[in-house]
Amino acid sequence: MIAAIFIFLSGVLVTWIEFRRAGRQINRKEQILFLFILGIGIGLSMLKAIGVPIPNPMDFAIAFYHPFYDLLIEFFGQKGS
Amino acid sequence: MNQEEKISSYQLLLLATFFTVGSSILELPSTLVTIAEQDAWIAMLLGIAISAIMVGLYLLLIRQYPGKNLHQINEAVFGRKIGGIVSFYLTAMTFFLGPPTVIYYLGRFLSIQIMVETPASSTHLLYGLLAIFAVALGIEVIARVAEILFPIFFILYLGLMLLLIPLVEFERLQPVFEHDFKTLLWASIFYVQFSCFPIIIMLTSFQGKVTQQKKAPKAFFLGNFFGGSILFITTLISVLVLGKLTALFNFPSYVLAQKINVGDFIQRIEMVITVMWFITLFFKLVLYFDSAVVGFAEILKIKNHRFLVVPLGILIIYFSLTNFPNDVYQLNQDKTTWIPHSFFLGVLYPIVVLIIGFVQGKLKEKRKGIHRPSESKGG
Repeated sequence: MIAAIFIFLSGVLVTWIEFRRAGRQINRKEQILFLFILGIGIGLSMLKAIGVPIPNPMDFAIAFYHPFYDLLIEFFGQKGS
Repeated sequence: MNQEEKISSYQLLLLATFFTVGSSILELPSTLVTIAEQDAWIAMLLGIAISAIMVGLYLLLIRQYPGKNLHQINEAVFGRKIGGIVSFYLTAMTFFLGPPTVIYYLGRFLSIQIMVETPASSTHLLYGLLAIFAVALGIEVIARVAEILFPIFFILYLGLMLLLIPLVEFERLQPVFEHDFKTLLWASIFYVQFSCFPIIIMLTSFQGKVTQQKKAPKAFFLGNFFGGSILFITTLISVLVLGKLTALFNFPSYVLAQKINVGDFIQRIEMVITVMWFITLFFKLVLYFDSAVVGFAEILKIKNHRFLVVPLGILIIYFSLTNFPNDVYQLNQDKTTWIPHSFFLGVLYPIVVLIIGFVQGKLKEKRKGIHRPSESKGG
């Protein structure tokens, strides 16, 4: 729990530093995007710190690419490698 | 986007070299020897040849669309919507598969070989923060760092290779050409998938930023070739010193450095290879990350890409900690995911773009040819 709080606070700190540094250079769209992506990063990190099981996106990537890998393996005659 | 950033062609050469060497200097010999055994050096030569052809293809792509980066090329070739989807796919997948894996490699190496009791997460965090800092400062600063670090890297590399010469036994290369061409080609794929195909993403970061535009293609090509040569020598020395045993080690170059012993005085200098790896991995990570940030900014139509650096950096650190639950999973992912992705990115994509671009060019010429006679009549 302490780790999750620490991650949240570091997210707030990062937002404060970035917005202060940027001043008026940052427009509304950039602000929203910044907060959205940061929110995803901080949110996922907090969930991991708490120990909530999150599906690994790499599993989906492996499932997507595996057929192409099998094709390559067949082409190079490297079955079993 | 900051258009004022400029780098020289020499800096581009160094960055291409570092990107090519990347993580491969420590792990590649093991993979090549596992597949091609004592013929690993031949597979490496084959890989350099394939690499030269592919980089030539990428340079052809730049020549066809001068001054445009990958995303602008996609828009020009596929149209706004489909081009946007292609750009998003390439950027998102490279962002998701590239930088987190590089950080994971470093964490794994440090926790296995050097700082055994330190949790890998602290290494991931520190290296991730370093990458965020570097990308936030911009490609110009990164290129200058490359200029400072390259002599250090090269002297260490040269020293290491020279000190290994007394341990060389040429019998370890025999029998030469024991494996058929297909096996050698398969082994060479493991070089090009990490060191050649992904280099196309550098076109995202550097198009229009090199001061001597005419020298840029040559520098890009030479950088890749030079990096390939460094890896070739490393693989050759690994086979000559360790022989087929190279396949047994996760990090054969580290074992090579451990074997150096000159007069019981110069010994235990394996940290040299660690320093070299820190340097090359840093550039690989930063170049991946920078191209992802520039790519997302281009797709989302953001003027200043610096605002994306910190949030995306935090995501990279998170993915580096969660993408790979263990080493076996990571080794499996390296093969089943990264090989097809790098094929899409480095082979299929440029060929499709070149063909479509060529057809579009021909159609334009044809249309001009049809319109010209009527124009002249009207005139």
